[in-house]
Amino acid sequence: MNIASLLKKDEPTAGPFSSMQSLEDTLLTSKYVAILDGRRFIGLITPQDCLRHPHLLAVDCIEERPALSPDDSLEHAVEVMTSGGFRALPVVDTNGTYLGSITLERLLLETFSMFHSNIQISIVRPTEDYPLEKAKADFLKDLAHHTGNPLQIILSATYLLSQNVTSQDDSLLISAIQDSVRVLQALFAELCQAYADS
Amino acid sequence: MGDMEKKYSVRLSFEPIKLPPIRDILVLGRRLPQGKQGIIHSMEFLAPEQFELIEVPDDISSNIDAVLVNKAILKRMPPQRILEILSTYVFPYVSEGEAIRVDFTVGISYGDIAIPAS
Repeated sequence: MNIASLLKKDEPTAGPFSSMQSLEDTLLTSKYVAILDGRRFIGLITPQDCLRHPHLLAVDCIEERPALSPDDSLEHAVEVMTSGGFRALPVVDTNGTYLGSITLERLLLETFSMFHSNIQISIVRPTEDYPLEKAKADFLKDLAHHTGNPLQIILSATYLLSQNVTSQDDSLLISAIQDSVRVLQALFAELCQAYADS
Repeated sequence: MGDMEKKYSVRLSFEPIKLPPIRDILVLGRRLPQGKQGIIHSMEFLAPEQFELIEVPDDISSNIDAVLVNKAILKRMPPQRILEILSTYVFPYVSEGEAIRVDFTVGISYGDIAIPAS
C-alpha cells in the first residue's frame, strides 16, 4: 500500500502572511496547515514548528522538511518522519507539484486499522469457463495482496520499536524479524511473477 | 460610581521620525516575534530594494537568525566580512527575542596610488 490513498482532499491551508494567531485553532484540530501562495506550495506548519519558531507570521514559522512521493510505502513514510522528528510531511509528484500532506497520526491510524481488517481469500473451483491456471493465478494474486499489508505492518511496527531499543539482543531480534519479512515479501513477489510469466 | 464625573489626563509630546527606522543594519534574534520574512517584506514596502537579508549560520551565532543590511554597505564590504565584525562586536550582546539596530559606517581609503604622468 502506498501513501497516495491517504491524502486528504480538503486539507487546511493558509497564505504565507497569515497571522499565527489566526491559525491556532486549526493547528490544534488538524495538526498541520499547508502554506500556499496562490497555488504554489511554500511549506507546512505543525504545532511543533510554532514552538521552535515563535513568530507572528506563518511564513516565518515554516520549517524545511523533506517531501514524500505518492508512491512511497507507509513504512518509508514512517521512517522519514521518525528519523527527522517530523509530525507531518508534504507529498509531491515527480514534477514537484504539491499533492497534499500526510501526518504521522494518520499513518499510524491506517496501520492499526489494517490490523482489524477482514481478510478474505476466495478459493473457486475451476470450471470450463474458469480454467485451473486462471484460478491458481487469481489465488496467488489474492494471497500476495492480503499478505502484503500484514507484512508491511510488521515492518513499520518493528521499525518504530527499533527506535527505542537499547539492548543489543533486542535489536538483533528486531533485525531478524525484519529480514525474515523481507524474505517473505521477495518470495511472494517472485511466486506471483513466476505465475504471471508462465 | 455612575454619578462620578469622568476626567481624562493626557500628556503628549511629538517629534518627526525617519522611515525606515533603520539606516544601516538590523540584527534579528532567533526568537524575535517578527520573523525575518515579515521584517524583510515590511522593509520592502518602506524602502524598496534598499536592504538585503543575510542568514546567520548556527556556527556563527545560535542566538541570531539573520541580519538586514543596507545594500550600500554591501557594495563596499562583502557579507562574510560584515558577519565577522558583527559576530565579534555585536552578536554576543543580542538576546534571542531582540532586534538590534546597528549604525555601521564603512570608509575606504587607499594609499600610494601611483598616477602615471601623461
